[in-house]
Amino acid sequence: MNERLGLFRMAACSYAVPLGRLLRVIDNGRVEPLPLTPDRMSGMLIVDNRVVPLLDSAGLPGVEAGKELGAGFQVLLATEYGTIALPADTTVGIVAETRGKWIAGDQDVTGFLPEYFYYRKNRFLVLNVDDFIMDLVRS
Amino acid sequence: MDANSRRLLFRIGTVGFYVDLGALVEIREQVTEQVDYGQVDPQLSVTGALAFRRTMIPVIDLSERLGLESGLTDTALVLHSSEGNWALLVDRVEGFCSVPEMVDHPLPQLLQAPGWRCFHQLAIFNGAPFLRLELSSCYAGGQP
Repeated sequence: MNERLGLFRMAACSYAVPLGRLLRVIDNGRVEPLPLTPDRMSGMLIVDNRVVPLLDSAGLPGVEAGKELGAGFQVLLATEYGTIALPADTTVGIVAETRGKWIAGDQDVTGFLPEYFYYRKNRFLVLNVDDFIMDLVRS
Repeated sequence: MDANSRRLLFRIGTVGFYVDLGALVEIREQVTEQVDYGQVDPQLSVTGALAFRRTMIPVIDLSERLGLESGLTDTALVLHSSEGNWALLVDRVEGFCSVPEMVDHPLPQLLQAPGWRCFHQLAIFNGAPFLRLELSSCYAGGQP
């Protein structure tokens, strides 16, 4: 792997996404409620007249449910099921993977790579977008 | 202009919905005192009956079934379906618009939970989403 990563935090947990899948970061987008949503989804955003499903914060490992409504940012990712938004309360920036190092993970988390990205004394869990979405769809 | 080329926009709780104007018979306001709450069928979301043009028609309140917090609902849409007229309680009527003013979308797969639902597509009007309420899923003349 030799690419750049988009880094963000949600409720004191740190995450990374491959830049090739990162479409855009929205500052304080308006979350539209939707009745009868699946458990791991929270609602939707309307972006450029398109519907973007928003992940519930509990869909991110280590984060409690319901935090997405207070999140200041939404990270938009391209997936084979269309665009999806992840909640974020802090954006860290974009960094080349050569600026950090990869370390072996101590547990398997579905939808994430087995290695962590270690950067500036922080350990980022790296999203495997295809696996993550497949797990969402199956659930 | 054909009534089906226009849509009625309204809200149940904070969620926006629309129906084709051709299904609307009348908008009835201040219905709280007109509803007979003695005729209730929770399984069908029937919360009472309303006197309308010399007949009693069922009043449907979808808020609980949709898991929505409804305010002091005091407006009913009298709608026509193959089963006859029935009334739907809503929190607010937003207004009317024409079909070309809205951008239609299917509901994304990631937002579809299994089980009953009364909407499968939505439309965006002035940047806000409105779910297309499927009337046959809301009231089917006694079929849950």
